[in-house]
Order: sequence, then C-alpha cells, then structure tokens
Amino acid sequence: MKGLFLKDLYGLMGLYKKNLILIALVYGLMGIAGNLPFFFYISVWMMGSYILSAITLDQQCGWDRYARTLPVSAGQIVGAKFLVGLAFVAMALAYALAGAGLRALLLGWDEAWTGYFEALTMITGLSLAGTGLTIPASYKWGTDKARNTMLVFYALLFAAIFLVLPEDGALAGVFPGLRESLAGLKEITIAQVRMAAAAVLAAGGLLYALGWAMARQIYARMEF
Amino acid sequence: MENLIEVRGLCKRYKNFSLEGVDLTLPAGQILGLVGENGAGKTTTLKAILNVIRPDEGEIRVLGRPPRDPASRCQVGVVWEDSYFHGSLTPKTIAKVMENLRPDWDRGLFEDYCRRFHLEAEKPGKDFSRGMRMKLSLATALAGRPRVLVLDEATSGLDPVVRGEILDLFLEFIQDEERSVLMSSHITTDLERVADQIAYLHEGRLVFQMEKDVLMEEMAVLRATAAQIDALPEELVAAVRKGSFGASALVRHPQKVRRLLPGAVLDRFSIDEMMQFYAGREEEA
Repeated sequence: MKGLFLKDLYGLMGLYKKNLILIALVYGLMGIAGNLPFFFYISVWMMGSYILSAITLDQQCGWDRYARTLPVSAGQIVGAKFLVGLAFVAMALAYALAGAGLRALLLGWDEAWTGYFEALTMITGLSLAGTGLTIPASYKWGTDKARNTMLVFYALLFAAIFLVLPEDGALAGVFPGLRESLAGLKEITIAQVRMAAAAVLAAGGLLYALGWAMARQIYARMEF
Repeated sequence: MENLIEVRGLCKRYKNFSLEGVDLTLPAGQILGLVGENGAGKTTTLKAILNVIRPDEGEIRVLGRPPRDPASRCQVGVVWEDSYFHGSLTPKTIAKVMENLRPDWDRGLFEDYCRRFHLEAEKPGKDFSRGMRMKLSLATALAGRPRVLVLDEATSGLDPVVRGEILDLFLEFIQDEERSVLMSSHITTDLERVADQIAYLHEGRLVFQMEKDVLMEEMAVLRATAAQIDALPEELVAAVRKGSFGASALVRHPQKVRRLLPGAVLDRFSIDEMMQFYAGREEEA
C-alpha cells in the first residue's frame, strides 16, 4: 500500500510541483493582500481533485495493466488513490489555515474572514464528496467524462444558487418557496452554522468512503 | 522437469476476436517464444497468464497456483512494450515505490542493474530513450528475483546492439535451470537465437508448441513446381503456397523430401517464413 501511495505521490508531484508552488504563491498573495478568503477555499477544492489526474496518468502509461501483475489487491490499488486524495486535502487545509493565520498576524482579522473556518470545513466536505464520487465514475466512464460531469453538476448547483437566492435573481420568481426558505438561513446562529459545517464535512467523509467502496468494486471487475 | 507455467484450454472471447483452446507449457530453465501475426492472440494469452484479464474458459497455473493468487504474482517479473511508470519517476523513485510494493524486491540488485545498463538514478523516465526505458523496466522486473520473466514485445523498436545485450541477459537468467522466460516478439530472429521452444498462435488458436531445434531440423522450405509438390506424400507437406512464378511448400523431414526430389531447392526453415505460409500473406512466389 505504501508503494502505491508513493507511486501516485511522486507521479503527481513530478507533474505538478511547479504548478502547485505557483498557485500557493499567487493564491496566498491574493487571499492575504487582496483580503479574499475565497482563494483559500478554492485551493482546498482544487487540491482535492488533483488525485483525479493520477488516474489519468495511470491510464496514459498503462500502469493498471502492470499493477494487476503485482501482489496487491484491487482494494489496495484504489485505496491508495483515496489516501493520496486525503493527503492533498490535508495539505491544502494546512495551507489555508496558515494563510489565515498569516493574514491575521500581518493585517489583523477583517470582517471578510468571518465564518472562515466554518466555510473551510464545508468546502472540505464538498471537496471530499465531489472527489469521492468522481473517482469511481472515472474508473467506470473515464476521467474526462467523469470530471466534466462533476464540473457541470457543480456549475449548475452554483448557478442555481446565484440565480434563485437573490431577490432580483433571474429565477427568483420561479422557485419562490425555495428562495424564501433559503433566505431564512440568514437568521441562523453561529452554532447552527458550525453544526451545518460539521454535517457537510461528515457527509463528505461518508461519500468519500462510499466512493472508495464503489471504486473498489468497479476496479476489481475491470480488465486492461 | 517442472513446468513453471501451464495453460490448458484457454478461451477468451471478445466482440471481434476470440482466443480458443490454447494450451501452453513453460518448463523450468527454458525460454519459450510466442509468435504470431498482429492480432493472433499473443498479448491476450500473456494477459490471461498475468492476471490482467479473466479467461472465459480453461485453466492457468503459474508455479502451481492460479494467476490471481498473490503468491504466484510475487514470483513473476513482467516487462511490457513500454514503461508503465509515469515519465516523471526516476530510477531512484521507482526503487522507493517497488521496495514497498513487493516484499522480496531487492534494491541493491536493482541498483546493480541500473549501473550495468548505465541508467542514471536521478534522471526522469521520460528523458530516457526507448531502449533505456526498456532496460529500466527489465531492471525493475529482475530486481524482484522472479522465477518467471514474461515479456510482451519488449524488444521491438530496439537497435540490434541493445537487443543483443538483452537477449544475453535472458540466457544468463535461465542459467540455473530454475527460472524461465516467456516472451512474445515480432522479431523472430531473436527467438531463433535464444528460444528453446516456439509456440505459434494463428487467428486465436495455437498451431503448435515445439522445441526450436526440432523445428529447425525437421522443417524446411521447398522451392519446386506445383506438380512436384502435389506429388509429395501428404504427411511431408505442412503448408503450400502457389503463385505465378512457381510454388513453395513448408515440408517436414527435409531428408526424405530430398530423396524424393533430388533436384529441388530446400531452404532452411525460418519462423518468419513459416508465419507467412500460415497467414498466406507473402507476395506470390
């Protein structure tokens, strides 16, 4: 298992090391100097999906065919992907927390950062859910199709939120009941927000585990 | 003599191709060359032996165990046509991966092979030539101290010098009579040089598995007229090819044929020519 973990880690780092350093610098600068915590949220989201590139790399170099000849099980091969995915999310979280700490230290805490930790928790949950479900889909239908489907799904989700939620949103009148119930969210307490964030994280973790179980089943049936 | 690989009645069916009833044996201390045209089923056969695909029918034993048994996979080294590690990995990082993947993988031996093959430890795989990547795959496989080495078209695209080095390595590998090599290749001269046995697959079926020396001694290519070939006893003629410039036949027992047709030309048997007879692809003689 450790060998599989290292193989994916070396492969991804070899391919994306410069890209990651650049993103960390640019996003860090934008987040801290520009007072935009969004850049730290998006880094968690992005890092979570890097593992999908490891599946593409495997397909490109025929790794899966070779892996079948090694004394490792399908569960271990797929499990390593999920562990590397978790490692990347953990690295991104550490980066996001360090960024917020640096911001507070250098420029003080700003109103824009209110709810930062709760939002970070929710994004982590969403990232785990998205990646966890995209990995089995990648094994089933290929990484491009799976990744595009995930992106379209989230684009539609966010588009719906932006179109429905604001009172002057383009679709505000189409779903009045939904808009009103979502508008009620403004009244919730910080304790409720924290509970919701924890629930999203827990759901994300569960979907990640479910994704692993699904991916293992799919991978075990695959032939290369 | 112990058989390290035994295949009985292997069948694998796809939409446009099927492998039917293939039987193979790989005895210890031997090199078995698997030949056949493109799409004959060589890679499918190797994939089934290596646990990459599941056979529809038949039985496969690798060191007495089914291929899905991890204990058998521990003793098999595999080299595909090209590297299976991503190009950003170096021999050094591959060593870290492999020593954590296979319990018996010997890092020191791998480093010895890397030195022998002039593979730089810190150089990414994508910067190696095709021949060097092949050597890297071979070093990776051999460092697992396998009892069976399986290679699928591993020497294609390599220059004769590199191929020669690799073939010598195979001969060295089987020296102790405990280990074996199963290799498929389109470069039949390589197989004529090192293989102990030849297995010929044609359109998903095994035509034969024979000792190479027997094949070379007991088969020949007869150049004669169609009438002369037709007059030969059936048991002496394996395959015939007729064209506007004459006829030729793949014949058994060349000495008997020579006695029957003293003036006819008998050429030395070659695997290439045999495949052309069976496939019927060569331009008309």
